[in-house]
Parts: sequence; structure tokens; C-alpha cells
Amino acid sequence: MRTRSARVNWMGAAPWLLLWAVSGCASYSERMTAASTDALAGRYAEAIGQIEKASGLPADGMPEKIDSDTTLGLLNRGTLEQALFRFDASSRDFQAADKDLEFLDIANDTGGEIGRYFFSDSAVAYRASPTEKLALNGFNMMNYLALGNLQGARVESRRFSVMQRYLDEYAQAQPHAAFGSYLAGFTLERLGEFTGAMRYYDEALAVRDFESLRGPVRRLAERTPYRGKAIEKFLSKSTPPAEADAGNLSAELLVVISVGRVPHRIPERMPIGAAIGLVGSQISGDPAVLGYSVFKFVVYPGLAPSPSRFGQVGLRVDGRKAQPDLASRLGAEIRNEYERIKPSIIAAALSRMIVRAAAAEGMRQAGNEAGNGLGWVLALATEATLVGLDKPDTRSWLFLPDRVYVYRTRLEPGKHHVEILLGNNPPEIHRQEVEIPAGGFAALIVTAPR
Amino acid sequence: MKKIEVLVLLIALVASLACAPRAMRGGAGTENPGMDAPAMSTTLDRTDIDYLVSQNLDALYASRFWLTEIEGDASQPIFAIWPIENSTSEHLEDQMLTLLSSIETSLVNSGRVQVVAKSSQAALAREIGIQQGAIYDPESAARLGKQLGAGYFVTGKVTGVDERLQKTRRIQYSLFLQILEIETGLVKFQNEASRSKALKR
Repeated sequence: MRTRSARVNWMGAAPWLLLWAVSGCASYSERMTAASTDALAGRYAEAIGQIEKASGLPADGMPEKIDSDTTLGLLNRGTLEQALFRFDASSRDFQAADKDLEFLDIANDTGGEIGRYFFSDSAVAYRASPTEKLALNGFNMMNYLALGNLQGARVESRRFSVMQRYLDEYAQAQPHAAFGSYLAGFTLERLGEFTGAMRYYDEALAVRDFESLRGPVRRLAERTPYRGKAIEKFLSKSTPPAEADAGNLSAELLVVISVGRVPHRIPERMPIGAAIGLVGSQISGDPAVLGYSVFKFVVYPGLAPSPSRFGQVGLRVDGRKAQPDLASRLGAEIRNEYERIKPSIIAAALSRMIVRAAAAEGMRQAGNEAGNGLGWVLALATEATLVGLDKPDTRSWLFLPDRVYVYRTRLEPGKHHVEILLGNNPPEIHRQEVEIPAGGFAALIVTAPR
Repeated sequence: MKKIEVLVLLIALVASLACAPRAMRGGAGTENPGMDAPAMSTTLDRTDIDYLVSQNLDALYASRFWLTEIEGDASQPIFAIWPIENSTSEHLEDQMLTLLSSIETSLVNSGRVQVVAKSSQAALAREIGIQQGAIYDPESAARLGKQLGAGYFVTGKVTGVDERLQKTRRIQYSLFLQILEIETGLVKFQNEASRSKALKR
């Protein structure tokens, strides 16, 4: 006959077993470790295989279901496809990820929200950060430009603008992915939409001066009356570049180099006292109950720098040294974004601790009232189980490049030799031969997320 | 004990079968006639394309231009179709092909005009240096039209006003259809049909 005490023992053991089981569930960043190692070593094809395995993506195919893992898998795979110069495949992945992110943004996620309250931030559907959202359209624009598909790039430039407007309205003072504005301007300029091009260049110049826009903006200023504040300022202080007077430069070369990786999320610990001191006013629930908790640290998703092999980027066109403009520091934008919301992240983790401590205290009282003296065991088991389930949300677009450089120049039609130098000591050199027709352009896209 | 194991296995088998994806047929004349009705995304689907094309072509067939200049012309004027421009924030390459084919089908079946086959038009366009998917411009159109022996071009654009507000994204699509007389460059007919798509919680 099974006795009551045996049942109680089972009840006591079950949460520990659960804790053991759930603590075996790896966080997102842990599951991506193998992919990250491969990518850092430049083994992009192998890294893609690891991403597919970790994200539930079919090899070289589209997922049947939409969820956070598959969407992040598409973003990461798309980046590495671009690094392998498979622009069609990269574009397909980015396009699907864009749709899926929108769906996850709008979808009802009541279950996830409840899960977030009790267990973990990673219980809810993944929401891309503003920088990630804008970067997605910017990177997909690169794919279409590399393929010479201006209409496709035009669609991405519109999507970029829609997202920018949306974020301007709801998240003011957020960073602008200036490289996206630059590429959108280039696309419209090539399509002959000069006023639209100038608007985008105005956005890009509002973030930083682009040496490579000196010539294009001067030329466009003769074709359209549009002048934004940044354009006015830029025109007043910049002199025409030397090549502007040359008459036979009807071909154009655009080079976009993306290197490094944005900071990634990792679990971080902070003493409860320090956390309450930092974000006390944002906590929901009574922090006094934490006095009963056996756990004295709050665990939350922090931000850690990602390894980056290429501190410097160089460029040579037909043997002549050229200086690309640093268009965007996406890593810095991600860090700024994170620092703004860090108090809310810590407050959410603390609030969950309060919920867990209150639940444990309830179990302790119930156990003690039952008179079997197991109240503290139940309390400990309850809290430990809930702590085991609380995985900090370390999901992010892991392979999003840290820095984006752009360069453009007018050349004579024909073949040109371009060398891209990544890092130094010694640099990794990518050599490409491009043939540009008269009146045409070539876009050379080099992405090295390491 | 063994019976329980068999039962559990059976339940698992039934459950796995129930979850397996199932191919199905839909549309008129099938057991799922309403399969095409629900909107699946904010992009244009077959139902939207049918609506936009029929609205525009119904207006064309009822227009003074059609009734007097086309129906009144016994020689069956030649129409060529210039690619319709995608001015939306959606990638609509496949939808554009469907849209053009729908317009072409309707014009051919009207029995009042002759339509230049897309394949010969594309080859000729390449020959005279017009890029595939190029936006309509009168100069190129006049050159191509002369080569094709066409009297009119059908062209237009799909536009989309794309907005997001909290948990809603809405795109207001419009299909503008134009008939241009190649010789004069005059717009002989123009119409607009609209449809909105939204994704909302």
C-alpha cells in the first residue's frame, strides 16, 4: 500500500526533478554556440547547418511554422548566405523573416505574457529591436543591389521608410540605420527619382557626413530643388570632389562592407539589494517578500561584446587606395537601445522573483498547516523549480554585423579590379573583378560577420 | 500492463496522424469552395487581383473610348501590354505576372482587339535595348510600339499606402490602368480600383 508520506515524498521530489529537467534546456545563445564558433572561423556553410539544426529550419528551405526560433534562424541564415555571396538565398530568407517578425509583433501572445510574468522573458514571442528592424531592410536592399535588381531594392527602401516612420512615432529618438538611408538614396538615384533620393541622403547626412556623397549630392542638387537641413549644411561646407569634372565616368561602383558582430545577450547576475536600489520604483509586487527567498541574486539578460576579427577595413579600386565611409555602428546602436531599457529588464526579472518568493511562501505556510513539517521543503522546491524555468531572454540577431562601411565612385565603363582589406596584421584580402556598362552600376557587397 | 502500453502506442499513433500536414484541394467545384476567401497576409492574393482587374476592365469596356474607338473599328486594333509598375512596399513579382495575364486574357477574350504575345514583345524589347521590367516611358514605348505594329499600350501601376499603428498594419492598394495611344502619346482611358489589406490583432 502506498502511504501518504510516500506521496508527499514524491511531491517533494517532483519539483527537483523538474528543476533538473528544465535546467537542461539551453538558452538561445547557448544553442547557437556551435554556429557562432564556425562563423567566427569563417566556416559560414557549416555555421548555416548549425543554425538550421538549432532553429528548426529545413536545410536550404522555408519553415512550415512561424515562431521566434525559426524567425531568428532566418535572420541569421540570411546574413551568412550574404557572406557567402548567395544573394538570392539571403534575400529569400530576409524577406520571410521580415514577414514573420511582423506577424510575431502583431500576434496575440497571452500565453507568452502570462509565462513572462511567472517564468521568463523568453516565454513571449521574439520582438526585434528597432535597430534590427531597420537593419533588416537595409541588408536586404544590399542583396537586391548586388543582383542588379533596382525594383527589388526600391521595395525594400519603401519597407525601410514604413518602419522608420512607425518607429519615429512610437520610439522617438531611436537611432537611424544611416546605411539604409544611404542605400535607399542610391537606389532612387539610379531609378531617376532624384527628389526621393535627396530625401534619403538628407536622412543619412543628418546622422553623419559622408565623404562619398559629396559628388552625388552636388550633382543631384542641379536636378532637384529639394534641400533638407542636412543637405543645406553639407552643400555649404563641402567642395566638389576632383572627379566631378571628368566627362567619361559614366559607370558607377558601390561597395558595401559589413564586418564584426553586434553585442549579444548573456545571462547576468546582480545582488537583489543592488537591483532594488537601481529599479525599485519600477517593480510590481512587494519586494519585502524577497526576504524569505533563498536566492539572493537576480538573473537578467545582459549585453556582452561579440568577438570581432576585423578592427579596420581598407579598399583599393584599380590599385588606388580608397577610403570607405563608416555609415553605421549597429553595435553601438544596439547597446544604446539596451541601456535605455535595461532598468525595465531588471525590474521585470525582480518582479518575477517576487512572484516566485510569494508562491514559495504560500507553499511553506500550506505545508506547515498540514502539520507534516515539510513546509520549507515545499517552499524550496517551488522556488527552485520556478528559478530553473527562468531563463534570461538571450535571443537576438546574433550575426548582425557591427559596422557597415559604404563607398561609391564614378569610373570609366569596363572591367575594374577591387580589393577589400579586412583587418590588419596581415589583412584578409577579398579580390573581385567587376564589369560595369556605360551608364550602369555594380554593387559589391562584402559581409563578414566575425 | 501490456494492454496499457498498446493503448498508449495507439493513442500516440492516432495523435501523430492527426497532426500530420494534409494536402487539400480548394476553389470552385471542390469540397472546399471557400478556401481562397480568407486573407492570409497583407500582400495581394488571387481574389484581390481578380477584383482589381475586373473593376478596371469593366470600366474600360463601358468607357466611351472602348465603345466608339474600339468597337467601332472593324480592323481590331493591336494592343501591347507594358509591364505594370510595382510602387508598393511589397515584393509582388508573382502577383504582377498573374495580373498581367488576367488583363491579357480578358482583352483577348473580348474579341474586339488583337494582343501582342508577351514572349515576342519581350524579345523585341530586348533587341531595341529596353530592360525587362522597365517603367513606361513614351520614347521607348513609341519605338517598341512601332516595331510591334501596335496602336495602343496597356500600362499602369500598383500603388500601396502602407501604415502601421500599434497592433495593426494596413496597406491600401490601388491599381491604376491606362490605355495610351502610341502614335500620339495620349491617354485614351484611365481608371483606378482600390482594395485594402490589413494584419491586425
